[in-house]
Amino acid sequence: MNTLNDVVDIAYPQQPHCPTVLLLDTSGSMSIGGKIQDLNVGIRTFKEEIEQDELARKRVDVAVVTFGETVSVANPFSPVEAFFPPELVAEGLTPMGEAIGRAIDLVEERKAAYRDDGIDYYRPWIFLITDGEPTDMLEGDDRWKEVTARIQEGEEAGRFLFFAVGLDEADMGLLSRLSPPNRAPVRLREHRFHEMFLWLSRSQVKVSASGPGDQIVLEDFFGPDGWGEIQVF
Amino acid sequence: METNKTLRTASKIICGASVAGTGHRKQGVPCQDALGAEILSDDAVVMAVADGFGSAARGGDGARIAVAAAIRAVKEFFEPSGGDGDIPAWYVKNREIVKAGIYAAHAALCARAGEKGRSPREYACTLILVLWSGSSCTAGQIGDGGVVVRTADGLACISSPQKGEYVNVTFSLSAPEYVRHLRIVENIPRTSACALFTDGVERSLLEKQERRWKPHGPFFSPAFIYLDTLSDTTGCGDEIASFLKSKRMQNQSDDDMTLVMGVAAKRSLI
Repeated sequence: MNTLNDVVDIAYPQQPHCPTVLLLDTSGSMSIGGKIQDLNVGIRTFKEEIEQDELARKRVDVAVVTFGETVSVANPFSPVEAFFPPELVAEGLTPMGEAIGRAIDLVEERKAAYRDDGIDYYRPWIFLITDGEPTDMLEGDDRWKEVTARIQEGEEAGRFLFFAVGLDEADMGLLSRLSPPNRAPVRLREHRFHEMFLWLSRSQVKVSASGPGDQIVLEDFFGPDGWGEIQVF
Repeated sequence: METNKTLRTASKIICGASVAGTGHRKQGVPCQDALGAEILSDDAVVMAVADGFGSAARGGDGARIAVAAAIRAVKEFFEPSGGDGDIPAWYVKNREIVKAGIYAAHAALCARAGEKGRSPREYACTLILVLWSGSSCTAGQIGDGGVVVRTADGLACISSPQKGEYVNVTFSLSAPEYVRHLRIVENIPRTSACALFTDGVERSLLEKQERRWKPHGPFFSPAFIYLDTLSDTTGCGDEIASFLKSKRMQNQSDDDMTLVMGVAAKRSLI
């Protein structure tokens, strides 16, 4: 005898997507101390860790935007399982201002594409990693004002989440003035790229598993064993 | 943990079940969804489902309190009042009855929060309340989940999930501005079947087409016909529970799942 379960079919919807932009400094100074190699390995770690999680592997979308010789979309948005980490090379200056604008544009285009396809999505992350200061804008100039305004307004309106990490010679004071008021930039300790990318992948796993009304609590990254530090200005 | 329910009036058969999601089972957390259904008269029933927010410490309690208070408030309209024994539901609009139910649910959350010295936010939950009177269906909703009916014109999603831009954001009954997010749809005519459900189930039973939510026909058509033709309805609630616990449903979501369905009883069926 048939039961209810026997007679019905259900819908198999598209998974909601979790878009993440890796916004990466590939200026000449990143060739010093093996940073660019660590970055390349870190990106692969990020992909591998996310793919370990059943839900996240179906939900996380990754894009890579680099700034060095030029600003380049090294990888347009793709599902993490179809993401093949580019081999990044360090050269050139630091056109961070233009790169931030490009990353924000990429996020808005992606959200529009999701909406057109009826795909639900989580709030996108833009994750900036830099070891220096921008060479295409000075604090207070027109481009600076435009870029900081886009970041602040975007965050305030909840359009994305902007997270900045500075290494080595990065000007943390400048990064803190660039960043949204509620999210201080983090200084990467001792080139702990691996731990940072593990943290990032675990954070995306949490986001991509969250349901309505869930609070997402990110892991601490500071403390003596953590990968980062926050300085107060 | 699960709860299920089966009711029968002279003109309607209602059944429903609530099942804890794998996410909560793994954490040893009880089901944060709640359901309720009551007979109001020979041809009127009230049904409600609610989903406690994961971020609310007492979301599950909130859901249960909201469902109970909403149903109690609606029931009062169907009880004789005053000396003349009039039934308020005879002259109060259905939309006002459902609104009163939702307001009572919000008030009950605030009252419990007050008693315990906590913030209402700790009891945050969604709520869907459906009044099915004769063949007329009226629904009130805050948050996600949805309501589907079968009418003479076919299947329709008359109340759809309210989401913010992001899939993990919705609205709560406990918020001070909850009335702003209350959607009421009144007096859908010639309703011969209806279903209400929480968000754990919505993606399996609804489809998004051109940015609008539509019922998934291959579920609702056979499901309602199944209930229409069931001769012994006592095990209905259990069957819904089994469906929710089935592998294909559990694979879709690790969230709590609640589904209540009703059909107009056929008089001459043996």
